[in-house]
Amino acid sequence: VLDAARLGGEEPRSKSSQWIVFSLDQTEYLLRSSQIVQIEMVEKITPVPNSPAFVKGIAYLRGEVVPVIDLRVRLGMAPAEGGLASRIIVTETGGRRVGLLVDRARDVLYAGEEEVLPTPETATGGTSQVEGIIIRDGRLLLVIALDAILEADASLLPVDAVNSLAQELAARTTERDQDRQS
Amino acid sequence: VTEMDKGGEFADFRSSFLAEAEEHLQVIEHSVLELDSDLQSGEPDPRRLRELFRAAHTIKALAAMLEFEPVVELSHRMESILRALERHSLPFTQMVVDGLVDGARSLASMLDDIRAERNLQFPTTLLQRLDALANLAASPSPQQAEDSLSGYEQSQVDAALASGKSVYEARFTPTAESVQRGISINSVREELERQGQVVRIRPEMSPSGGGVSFVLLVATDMPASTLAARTGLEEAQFRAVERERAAEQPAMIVETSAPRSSVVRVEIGRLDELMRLVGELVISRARIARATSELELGARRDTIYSIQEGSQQMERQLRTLRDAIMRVRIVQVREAFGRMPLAVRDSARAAGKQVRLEMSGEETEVDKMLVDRLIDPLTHLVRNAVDHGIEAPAQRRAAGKPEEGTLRLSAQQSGDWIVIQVSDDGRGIDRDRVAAKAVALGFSGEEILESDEALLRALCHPGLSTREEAGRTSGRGVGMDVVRQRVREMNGTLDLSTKQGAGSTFTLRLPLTLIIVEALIARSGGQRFAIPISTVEEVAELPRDGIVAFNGSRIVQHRGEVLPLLHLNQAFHLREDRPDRPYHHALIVMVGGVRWAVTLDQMLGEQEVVVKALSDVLARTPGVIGATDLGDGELALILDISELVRHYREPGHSAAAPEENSSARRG
Repeated sequence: VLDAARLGGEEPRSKSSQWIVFSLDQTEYLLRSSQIVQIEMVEKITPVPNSPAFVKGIAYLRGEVVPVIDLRVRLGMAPAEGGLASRIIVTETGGRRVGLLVDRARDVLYAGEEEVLPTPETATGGTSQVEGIIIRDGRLLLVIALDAILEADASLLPVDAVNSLAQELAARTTERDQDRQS
Repeated sequence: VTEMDKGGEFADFRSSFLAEAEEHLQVIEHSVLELDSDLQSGEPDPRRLRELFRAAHTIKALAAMLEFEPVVELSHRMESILRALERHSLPFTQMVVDGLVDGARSLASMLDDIRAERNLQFPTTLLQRLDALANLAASPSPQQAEDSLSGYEQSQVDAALASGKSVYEARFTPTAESVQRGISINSVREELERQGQVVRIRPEMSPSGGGVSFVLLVATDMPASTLAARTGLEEAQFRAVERERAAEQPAMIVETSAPRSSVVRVEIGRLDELMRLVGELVISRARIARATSELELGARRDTIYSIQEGSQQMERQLRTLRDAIMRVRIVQVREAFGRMPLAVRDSARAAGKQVRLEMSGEETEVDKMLVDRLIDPLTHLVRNAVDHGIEAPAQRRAAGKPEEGTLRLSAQQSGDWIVIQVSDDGRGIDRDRVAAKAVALGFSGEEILESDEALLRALCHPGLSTREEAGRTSGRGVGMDVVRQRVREMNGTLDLSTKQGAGSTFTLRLPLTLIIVEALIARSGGQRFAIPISTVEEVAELPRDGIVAFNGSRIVQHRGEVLPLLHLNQAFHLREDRPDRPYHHALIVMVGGVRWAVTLDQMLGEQEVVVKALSDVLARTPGVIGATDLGDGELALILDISELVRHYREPGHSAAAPEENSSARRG
């Protein structure tokens, strides 16, 4: 998987992978672009009755029916409000195509796999939907563990732990922004 | 390394090879079993032999073009045996027929491998067995014995080739001259041992008649010229054994269940029809385009008429075009049924049972995709019937039945559906045993004892398809739960009726086509739903005050009948759109022999919808079989009313409808 990601990047000579940066509230997250099929504007999402709460519904994206996860709900935050900037990131892994609804998805980041730092144990309680952190220019970016996110069984994930990590990071980011402004 | 690259051109060849080879394989599978029954009369039907020969020969020729060597080798041997049978130079015995049956089976699995783009393996043991059979014939062909290497020898050849060595076959015929020059088989062998490794030495009657020749197989780093010089033989006497002779390197075992041939043969007339329709569409479009450009000059009444007419015309043409394309996709259910005799024979043999297979309705026409998806569940049901349904001969005799059990496989069209039944005259399903097991899984034992439907539901529970249940042949990882799942994916239903001591019948009802269904469109809880029209008996308006709460559920009177009632909004935790209206719109549906009323907010109309499967686990929910785009980019869920009722009728489901849940989900 890693090799494929490296080869798939636009700069085959460098050892960098290409990552897509997206955000939920103030926190920034990363997904390997090798796992991403497309990024779409949010059009119409049809709710699926009695599905897990984090499943926003299904959407018809380029001729395919794709389930869409509200990533905010998945990570224990309040449901998305659906602003103009929100996007559906369509991921593909293990033969499945699933959309992730996020607040914003704008940037691309180049970073080697070796730059991924382990998440602090204390913050996530061991298993989690965050597989690591990349620090770039003082920004903290959380690498989403896609396979865990796509797990249908919500109870596998310690939502509170990630939530607190996200809040902590959000706080730090805000501090940093304030530092910069002052 | 191998010829089986994934190049586009090769892929094209491969798919047309598969399409054609499969047709011939069907002939082989069918005729080989007929040969099996010919055994009783002691004489093979000569017409059948020729048919088989032709099929094997064609497969060989096709495979040779694409260099599928294992297929070539195998079909070649089957061909030789058939020829020997035809010439009466080979006795017609069970052993011979078994060899051919196994050959057919091995061909089938090779075609599967080709389809899945797996590397082919030489079925070495089978090839040797077939060679041995062919050698029983009065005039043994030396060519054939030559081809067969033992497993060990083959592995040495493979290893040598894989490590970059060459393998040569040297033919040495001692002559007076060679003796004079001091060249003997011993000197040749010793020299070759020094240059490499002698894999095999085989003496053989010289083709020219008279003396004995030796065929040596040697693996070496040296070129043929060196070997020739050292041994004193001619260079021409060394023939390089190419990779084609060697088995391909063992492929990674990846269990992809490749769909059977995705190729459909189409009569040219049907294609012409399609072309004609497309031509008409082009004309209609031109007409509309002309009219729209006229519009720029100002709207005139006849311009608008022209556009309206053009649009109507296109609608008609599109409909005809769609129907024509659907016809192209139609094949006979024979394509699936044709695989069953072999499955029955295998299972019956392994279980020591006598089974007669009766098939009817093979000519029923269905969508190609459906036939492909039908094979797995059908095979499982058939094997199950032989393994668990039909009793051993002694048991049958004791029960006063003929020793030979009967398995019936039938297909028939009924409206927009195809109904397929797998029915045996065996012992029936042991309700007590299933009930005893299923209770631990939360089923009601009483219900299982009383109703076939409850029994089937229990049987289809993954927890019940235990290894103990699955026989040797039916236990190939496909349990009843998978059968049900497959049938469900085809938007079909599965039913069971069974009687202790008298046998069981499984009934599959499948829509003739998977793709487009006529559906009722309804709105409920602010969301649109599509309901396949064939599943609905009637659309009714039911007055609210006619609904009576009864024993934790609701009932309603309709046309003099009392029907149980289910509110879609409650089942789906949706908020009703029109609580002010004095009546409900309701679908009257038949579920498991009981007529139900399912209410929803509003019927919107009828429409043909294109069914898209909801395959991801995140999108699956009971009562929903798929989704469809109603033309505005927003998906509507397609309901499986029967499953909806089955799932939500249980007390507890319908009662618990927390309002805050629904508002949170809708937010």
